[in-house]
Amino acid sequence: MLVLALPLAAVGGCGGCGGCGGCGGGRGGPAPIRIAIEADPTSLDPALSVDVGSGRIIALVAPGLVRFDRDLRLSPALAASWTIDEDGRTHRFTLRSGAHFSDGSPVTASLVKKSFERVLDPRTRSPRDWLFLRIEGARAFRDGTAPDVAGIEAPDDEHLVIRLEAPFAPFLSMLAMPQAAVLPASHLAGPADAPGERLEGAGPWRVASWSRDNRLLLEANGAAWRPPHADRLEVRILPQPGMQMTDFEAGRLDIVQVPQADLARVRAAPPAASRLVSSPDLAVYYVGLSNLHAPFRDARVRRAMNLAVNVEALVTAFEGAGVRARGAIPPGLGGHDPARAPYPFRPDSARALLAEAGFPSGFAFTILEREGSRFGRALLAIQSDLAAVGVRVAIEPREWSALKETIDNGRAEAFLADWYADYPDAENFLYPLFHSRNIGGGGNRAAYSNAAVDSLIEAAQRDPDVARREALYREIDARVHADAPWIYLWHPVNFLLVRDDLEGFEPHPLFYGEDYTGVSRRAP
Amino acid sequence: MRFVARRLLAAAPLLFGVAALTFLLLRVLPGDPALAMAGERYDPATLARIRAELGLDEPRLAQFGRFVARLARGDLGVSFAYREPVTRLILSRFPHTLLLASGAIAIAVVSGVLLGGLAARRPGSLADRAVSVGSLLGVSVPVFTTGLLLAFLFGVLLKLLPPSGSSGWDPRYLVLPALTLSTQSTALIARVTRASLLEVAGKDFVRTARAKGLAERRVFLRHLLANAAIPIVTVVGADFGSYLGGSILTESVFGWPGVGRLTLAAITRRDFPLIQGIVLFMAALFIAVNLAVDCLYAALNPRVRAS
Repeated sequence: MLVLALPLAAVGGCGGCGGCGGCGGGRGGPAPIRIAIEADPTSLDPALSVDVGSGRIIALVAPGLVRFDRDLRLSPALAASWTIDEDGRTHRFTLRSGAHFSDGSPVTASLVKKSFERVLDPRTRSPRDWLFLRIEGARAFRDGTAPDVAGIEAPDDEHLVIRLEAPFAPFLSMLAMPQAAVLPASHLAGPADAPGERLEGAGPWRVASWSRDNRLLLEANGAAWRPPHADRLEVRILPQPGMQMTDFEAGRLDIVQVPQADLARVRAAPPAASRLVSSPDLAVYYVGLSNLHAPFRDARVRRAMNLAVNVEALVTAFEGAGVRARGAIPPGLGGHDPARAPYPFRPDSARALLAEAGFPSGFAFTILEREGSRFGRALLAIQSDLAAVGVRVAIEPREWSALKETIDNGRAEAFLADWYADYPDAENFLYPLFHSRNIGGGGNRAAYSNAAVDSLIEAAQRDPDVARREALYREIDARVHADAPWIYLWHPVNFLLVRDDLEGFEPHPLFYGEDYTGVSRRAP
Repeated sequence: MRFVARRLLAAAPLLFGVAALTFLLLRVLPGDPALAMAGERYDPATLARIRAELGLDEPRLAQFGRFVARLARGDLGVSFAYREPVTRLILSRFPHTLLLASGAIAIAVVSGVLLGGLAARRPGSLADRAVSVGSLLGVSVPVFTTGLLLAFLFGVLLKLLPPSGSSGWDPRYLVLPALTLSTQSTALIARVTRASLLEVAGKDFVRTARAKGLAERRVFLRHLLANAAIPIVTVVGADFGSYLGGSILTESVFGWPGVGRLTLAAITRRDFPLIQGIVLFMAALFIAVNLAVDCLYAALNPRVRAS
């Protein structure tokens, strides 16, 4: 009985939900801002964060040197300013003076260096060490042949110098990612072998309590350089989008993402005292056509697939929850070309191309999809369109982990997939998705390989000039689009319901970009 | 006592068999824990490093040996994804599951026996037919649908109960998930109670009891229900045992932080130690509940005790 008595105390103790304050404002003061996420963060350790839930919470509590504003402009966070030397490799940061962590200790350049080194430290076992591998000496440190990363220097408390092995233009953008969080000394003492339930940072919020799989209660960090207007932020963990919607309609959430199934109803009659706002995602959905498999090695076949599918009809059926893709780069990112014509719906031309490629009677292949994918229904329409040009498609749903294994090992002929930006730079789409170095787990799951495209991507990565880089991105995207390694589908658009008494909320295009500092509840 | 000791001894090889089978199945089925941990973008070197750190690059026999050695010490290992001891993870969620399972089974027993008793009173009556139709619905409507409907009705329309979440011992949060989870058990218990009561009602000793002039309430409780209880206890035991292992659907629909959701997360991430630990924990609970049910049989029926 003792074994049971101890954990039962955990239920009675509210599972750490802040004395049930999060359950509806049991504490004094105004009710918290209430939002929901679908999955419990696996870990609040920035070095170990690979899931959306972890990334969103870490960004609220422990920011890095820079952040992105709503217009996706790089803005100061813990760094007040920065410069990049002529060589394109050396980045010089001046830290914000007077910035403190929520434990009261000051933010210093040496802590920034140690925070980044911790991600690279093999004892930390971070799956995101690639973030810092372009820094001079990072590989030597990771491999245990150097005591520290030579390319990160902290000459004093307020200045930090980072030298890259070679010019790499998106590096600054990568420093806004949750894995580049700056942590206080208390978190840097040892490797990340402790459970990631604890997190302190210099962000606008601090974790007051975390009831796993239930709710996180965040409190305003009064010492933050960017303090929030609200006192508390309650993050409910609700796996079912339908139940999130029910909770919103019951008045227990302030912001909710509208599930696709509810969109028409909400548009026709939004719940009382709420407003509907849209938020384009920096993402792309596509059907990858594996270049490792016979019919899709021929660009004519791949183009025929694009011509045979009526993507416009699909996007229309989504009631605005998607924008047709004209390439991989989503609207809102430099390099997106709104003038590029998408593949038209021309079944006759598709048939002619297939005949020219040696498939006058079509062929058969299988598209793998993630079980329960929210856009899985679109595959039925794609299947039907392809059948009209003689291509017989079998749709095979797989559980996520098994699906990923099959695709990454090159065993899938075709698959429904998506790609969400880690950082808002078109390089984050073009390099992982189309560079031949990344075939497989690196992101290029269609196994697309084009030496000219590879060198253009590398040239763009090196070019510090924004306008030139964006022109290169446009060119690369156009070339790949013409080669058609995918059936290009859409860029998703989210719809959010926001309670009317909430002021200052505008959706952020990046999943870790919103920090809720400007959000407050209007007095009744 | 000897019976209990014998059963407990027999449970050890059974649990070992469950552990071995789970270990084997996880390694044979598709899905790679290292891939799940690596995220959407990784290089082959990182993947190889993660695989080595998790011990997945060793021969399966060596992995199994290590697993068994740890198990013998009562150690379920450390979760791949959470990097926490598996036992700690399970025990942190189990109180919520225990609360939900107890609430659901309490509702199911009370309402199932009452409805079954009502139906058995006058077979073929309107009440009997209503219970039959109701229990058919209860068994056939998926938990997912029941849950969302109840949440919308009581949470949004009537605003009587919170539609989701958990808040310590606050019973308002327990009502809807427990009610949802109990629907299938209630239906099953009602059907079994009705059938069992009707079977016992025709027995000589019931007729004798009535002929002796015993009050109908006493006849029902002492003679009818007591003798019809064994099949009901069997159903209750089986359902309670399965609920204790976590109810993935109900917990997911209502955002209830129990073992069911932990199981789902473990499966999605191919967290081998956590899946193995949960399966073993569930098996142990099931054995314990079954043992309790067997003991209850003996308490309810002297013939079972004698045998």
